[in-house]
Amino acid sequence: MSNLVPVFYEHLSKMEEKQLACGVILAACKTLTKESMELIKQDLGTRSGDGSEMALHYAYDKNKQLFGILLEGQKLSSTHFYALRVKDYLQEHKLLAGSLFIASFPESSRSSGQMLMRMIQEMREPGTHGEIKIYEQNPAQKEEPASILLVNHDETVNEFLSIYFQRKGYLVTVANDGMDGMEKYQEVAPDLVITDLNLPILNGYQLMEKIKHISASMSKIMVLTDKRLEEDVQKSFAMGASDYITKPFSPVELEARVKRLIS
Amino acid sequence: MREFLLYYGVFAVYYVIAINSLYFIIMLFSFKSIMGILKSSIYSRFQTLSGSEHVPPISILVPAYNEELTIIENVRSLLSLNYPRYEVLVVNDGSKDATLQVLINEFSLVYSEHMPVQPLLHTSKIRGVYHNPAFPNLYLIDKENGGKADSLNAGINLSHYPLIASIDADSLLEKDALIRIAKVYMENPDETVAIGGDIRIANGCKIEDGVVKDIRLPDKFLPMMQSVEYLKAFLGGRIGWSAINGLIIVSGAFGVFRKDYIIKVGGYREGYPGEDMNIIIKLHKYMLENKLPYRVAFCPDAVCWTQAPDTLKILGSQRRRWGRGNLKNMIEYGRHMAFRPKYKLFGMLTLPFNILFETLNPYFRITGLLALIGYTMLDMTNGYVLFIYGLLNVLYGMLLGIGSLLLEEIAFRRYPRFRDIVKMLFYTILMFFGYRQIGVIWRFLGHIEYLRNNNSWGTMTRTSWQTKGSENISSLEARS
Repeated sequence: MSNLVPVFYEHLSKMEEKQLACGVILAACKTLTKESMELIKQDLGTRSGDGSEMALHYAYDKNKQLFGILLEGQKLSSTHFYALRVKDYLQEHKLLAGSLFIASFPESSRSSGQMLMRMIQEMREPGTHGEIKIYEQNPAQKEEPASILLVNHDETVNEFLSIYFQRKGYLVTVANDGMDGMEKYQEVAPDLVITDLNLPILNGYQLMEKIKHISASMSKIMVLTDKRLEEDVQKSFAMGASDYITKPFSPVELEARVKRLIS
Repeated sequence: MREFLLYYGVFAVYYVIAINSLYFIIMLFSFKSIMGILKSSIYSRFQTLSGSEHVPPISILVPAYNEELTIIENVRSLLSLNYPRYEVLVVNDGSKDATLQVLINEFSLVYSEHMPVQPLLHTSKIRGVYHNPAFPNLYLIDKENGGKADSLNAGINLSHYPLIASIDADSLLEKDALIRIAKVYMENPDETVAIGGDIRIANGCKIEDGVVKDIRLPDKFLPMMQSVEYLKAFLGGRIGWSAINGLIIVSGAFGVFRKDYIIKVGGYREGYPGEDMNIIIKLHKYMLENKLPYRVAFCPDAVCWTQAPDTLKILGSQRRRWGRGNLKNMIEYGRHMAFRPKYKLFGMLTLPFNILFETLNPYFRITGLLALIGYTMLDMTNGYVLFIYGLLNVLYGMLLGIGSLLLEEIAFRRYPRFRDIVKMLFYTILMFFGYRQIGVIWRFLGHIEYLRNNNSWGTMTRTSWQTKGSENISSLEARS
């Protein structure tokens, strides 16, 4: 394990607890001594892009030759801005050995610790000299299956789709009416909700509105319904649906659209 | 005296043969058209239709008087129908319980001042219209008490769409029912003026969130009897009548009508029972007098579940009301329209049939039976005439009952378990030992009530769909 982890992890968890933003810059570096570390600290300064003071933490991993900077309270954009200065500085002093890698919590990941671990893992892959890569959560997520919530009053459709999607490797939760759908949504926080509009108790529109109310952009919503009226299509998209499919549907097409929405 | 009694008794026997033979012929028509209905319901694409632009929009009218127990379930069920474009208009007919408040709370309805109401039909004073944009197709009309017909008229005044459906507040529509009925309308939109749905008894069924989850036959005796009775009336009778366009009634519990013609005939008749039969007679009359081609259809696969009364007292008051409504309609319209060639099949067959075999049925049956009993008392050796009378009644009735069961099993099969079929068969036979006779007496009592000018609704009870127990709460008292 890299010694960057214990150093940064403490700070990161603190920030996570306080729900503050936090930027991370990793750079492949030539061997640094303690003195040169201090020099870098001084030379880079603590001004951010918009000129405000930043709290910075530096660390260096000798074995992996990784230079890490933690920027307290900084979002991805200002982290990126700062990374440009770091890159210039390192290049000027001929210290840069490969690419840079930046990320910010919570923009890039739900867990700061996980983010840091993955970043360090991915730094091993050689990149172009001087390139600034932005950490993305999604490729790493491929390993854990995407979850889908099916809300439909027709039990046959629910059963068919849940078997179909389970065989394709998705995690499927099924709900029979709007209220049930709402409860299941809060339990599993799925990546995608596939809902009908015609539902008992809460209809599809109300369900969408409640989901939007709880979490602004967490889950994608796809409408799968009999309704073919233009006003329904329009209203669904206006309420935040990402796709609209009418029955009878082709499961192959449905899956293709699901893939496009969550992958 | 003896001679007279005998002849009258023999006449009663022939009457029974005639009435049952006619029922039998009607049922044959049912059998004839059932295969077509079956095929069309199998091959129709309801699912596709239920979202299509081409389906006519419908306004569903729900008159509600003291319905706080069932109204939420009912409205929820109506709001989740498989139908592309429709609105639900609940008309609170001056309820004395919390019907209005329950609805306002559940759906967060807001009093809207400027709701355009067209004064097409005269109604009692409207107190206000409630609406909530979150439920764009739900309207609640609050009006002063004026009866069911009055409520329907008020609903028509506010309705926005060309077709109207009337639904009882204690009934639940199957999700596909409306689209199935609309399909019948769309086959012939110019001529179809009214379409009735199939009414079934929901006692014993499991109902959740306004949807019938598990179809079961009722456990109690009276609802079970009515289940079999409805099956016979709707499948054995109405399919046949609609095949020859002689339908005289579309149940108030669930029917779809063309609004323009309802308005042309002056809307629902206020202030007396039998408004559902009344409107159909008026439609027939209007269309025939104006020589317009038309049809009154019946759609047996559009199912509406309703609660049957489960005590003799309530059932009796319902049946007396039916008897009263029937007599009133026959006196006011039947007299002028029966046996007049101008009114074609409706005047020459439906009305005479109705008068002779529905309205006058109690008199012939009761007097016939009395005559035969009297005759037998005078001359015990000729007891076989009484025996034949009884046997004819039972055997013919059973034939008809079994025929309608057969129709059910051929076409619909709502009750999948074999046990249920046996149970229905048993009750079909049991019906002739007491239940039928008491029905005839109720009808007779209804006529007496009519003659004594009693036009009240009688007491009807409602049981919440949710409570499994039998706590009845009295409602619908003296509506007019």
